[in-house]
Amino acid sequence: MSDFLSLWIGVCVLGSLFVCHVLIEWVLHRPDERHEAHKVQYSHQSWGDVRSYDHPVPRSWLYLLYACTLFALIYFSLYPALGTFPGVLRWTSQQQYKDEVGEYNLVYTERFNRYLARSITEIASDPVARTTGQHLFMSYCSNCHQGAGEDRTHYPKLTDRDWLWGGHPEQIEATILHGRTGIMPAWGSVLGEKGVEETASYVMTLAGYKPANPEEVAAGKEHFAAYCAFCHSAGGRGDPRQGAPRLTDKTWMHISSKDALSEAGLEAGVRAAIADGFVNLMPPHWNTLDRAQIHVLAGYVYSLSN
Amino acid sequence: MVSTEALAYGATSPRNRYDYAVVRQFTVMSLVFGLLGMVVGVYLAGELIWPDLGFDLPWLTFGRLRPVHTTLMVFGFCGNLLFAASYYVAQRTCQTRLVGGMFPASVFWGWQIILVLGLVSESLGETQARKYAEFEWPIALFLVLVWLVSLWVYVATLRRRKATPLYVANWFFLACFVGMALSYVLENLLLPVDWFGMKSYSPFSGVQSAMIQWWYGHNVITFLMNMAFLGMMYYFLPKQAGRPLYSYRLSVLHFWSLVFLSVWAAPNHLNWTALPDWTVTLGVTFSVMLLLPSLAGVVNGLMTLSGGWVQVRTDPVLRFMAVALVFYGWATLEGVNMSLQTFNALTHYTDWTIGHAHLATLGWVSMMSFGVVYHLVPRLWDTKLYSVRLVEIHFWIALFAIVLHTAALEVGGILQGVRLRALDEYGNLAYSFMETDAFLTVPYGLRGVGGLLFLSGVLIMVYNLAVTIVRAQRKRAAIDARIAAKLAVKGLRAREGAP
Repeated sequence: MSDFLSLWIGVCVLGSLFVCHVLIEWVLHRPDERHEAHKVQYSHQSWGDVRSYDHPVPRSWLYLLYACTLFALIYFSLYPALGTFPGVLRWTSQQQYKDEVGEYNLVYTERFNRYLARSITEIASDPVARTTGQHLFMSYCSNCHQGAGEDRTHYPKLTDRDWLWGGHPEQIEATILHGRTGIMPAWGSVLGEKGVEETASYVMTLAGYKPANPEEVAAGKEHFAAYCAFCHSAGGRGDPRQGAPRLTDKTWMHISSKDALSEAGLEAGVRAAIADGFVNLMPPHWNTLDRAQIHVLAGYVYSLSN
Repeated sequence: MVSTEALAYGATSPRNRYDYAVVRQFTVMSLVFGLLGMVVGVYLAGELIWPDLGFDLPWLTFGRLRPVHTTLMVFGFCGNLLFAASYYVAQRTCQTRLVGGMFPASVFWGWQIILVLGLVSESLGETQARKYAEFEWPIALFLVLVWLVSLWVYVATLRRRKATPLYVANWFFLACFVGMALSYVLENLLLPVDWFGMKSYSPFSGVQSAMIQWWYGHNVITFLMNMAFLGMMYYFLPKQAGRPLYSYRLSVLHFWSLVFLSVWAAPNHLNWTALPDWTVTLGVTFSVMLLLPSLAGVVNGLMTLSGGWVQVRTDPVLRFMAVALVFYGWATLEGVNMSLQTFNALTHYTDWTIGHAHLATLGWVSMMSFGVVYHLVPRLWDTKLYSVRLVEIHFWIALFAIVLHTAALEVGGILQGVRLRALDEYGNLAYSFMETDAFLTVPYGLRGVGGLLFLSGVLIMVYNLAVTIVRAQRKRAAIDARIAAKLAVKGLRAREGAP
């Protein structure tokens, strides 16, 4: 801010306070038209159909006026208000923020870091730590995963023992720390419509369902071996190193629970998955949470299924 | 030839001395837009409880309906009533007729066209997305034009007065006209994207844009919702009570302290943001000093009733105005409190703010409006209110509704604020965002009930006033017919050569 602008602001602020006071004093010391006999009389004006008394201004209002002005002048000298003048206290909102973060760290960081010395399974069995973890989970994870255990299409359920990227405590912690990117390529253009249908029929049998067209299963098995088994392994056992889901159970992350109610809906979902593919993203948290928080979170997530 | 009007009402009847046609039109449209706005408000309260009420129709979603609600209330309800009251008070206190020939009528039609265009374009999503300044550039330009004409009509009328000083109510109206014009023009400095499209952009960006926006937003509150309605208070409260105003000099102090202090207070809407620290300090200081005009107004209004308190008990119209003034004091005290950094940190971005806004608009603005309209309509149509009992019922329903509405949102807002900042023993946020929000369905429900009650009170008022107006017009038509018949008979006799 330039010196001129700063001066301008100061002059305007103090000037308007001053002018306000001059006006008020002028009003207060206006020629008083009260008669001796009547304490109060009508104001000297008449305005058609309204009249007005001219009672003196209440004392209390005047005292409040002086108190407010005094308050303003003190406040202006203590805090930054008049342009670049920083105030006697040299307060800034940035400094206050830094101070508060410092106080926070002083109180909580050390307390929180004690968790780092404990193993994830220990944390998972400690009710206090679990509550802490739950608070973190609700703030940072529930946007996608919802309250833990609730079913939500496209987001993995954390309460079962079916893991995409592995369910060991260290694997969970790594997932939270670095994030995961799971890619299912779109096979529609490779397999063609017929190929997709055949493959879907085969995938249905892997989970123990009866496909709509059983005669396609044999052809589907060949497609699977050629294109799918590289990630999903032969027989659809899945591969946690690539985040490739196991296909032999009845958990369907990308098919809504409503569609999964009927075999026809399920098969349509499987076909769409094969034809169009997915990109599934778990964001990394090493830059938003500190290690102790991630450690406690891993413990909480582990506790959900163990 | 003697006109039927002069015969019916006499040359000294207010119907002839003053120009009430446009005042009547503004009063009716204020009620129409007010009623619409409150219906939309209740619907919005419903959407907060049942989000599916948007039915996936773009114009029915919360984001589009909310500016429609505020436009209806601020420019439809308050704006129309400002014109009605100021044009009425200017004539009565200056003992003159409205100036300008066709101009008052053109202000009326211009204002209604602006409102319709604005509401339709907002519903279609054409908006600046700036609070209270949603109108896109062609409508904003039109609005400034109509506003300036209205200011000219008002000032020209004041200039025709016989007494030299202006009655205090007129200063407040004048400040409203001038202050709103300045603020609206600065807020709406727009660069259109092209001359044949609606889209435009403000030349301000970032923190400057925020500051201009809230300086304007604050001035809408100060000039339109405080100044204009204080002007109404200063005229209609003494008139309804039939008593002189308490203190002329206190009203002078009220006016100048409000003008000088309030224009500085705008940054208190942006505490704890990227605004430079010195602007916020200034805003807070001047907000605290706003205690002065606030108390001056309350004291001046209520002391006017001193010695005549029994009237407040017996006259529900006066009670509307007196209670409105108490809410003015309450809402402004809350405003001072909310400007303080510490309190603001708790309540900002919670439903407390919405509770406060509705305390001010329902308690102060609407209650004062109801008093004014109940006072105006019988005088404009030269009749008596259809039912004072219905006014009494309206008063108690409205009062209960405001208390319920305010208590629900302000208590809910404080709980929300407390939850948003609560930490567990390890310094984590104790509540997820959903947990700070989901419990609000209960306060939202109570607020919805409060809003519905308030709306039903307004329906009673509209019914009462509609019957009053229709009866007055029927009575007048009957008198006119009788006079016409008499004149016809006279004329017939004259032609027949009777003695």
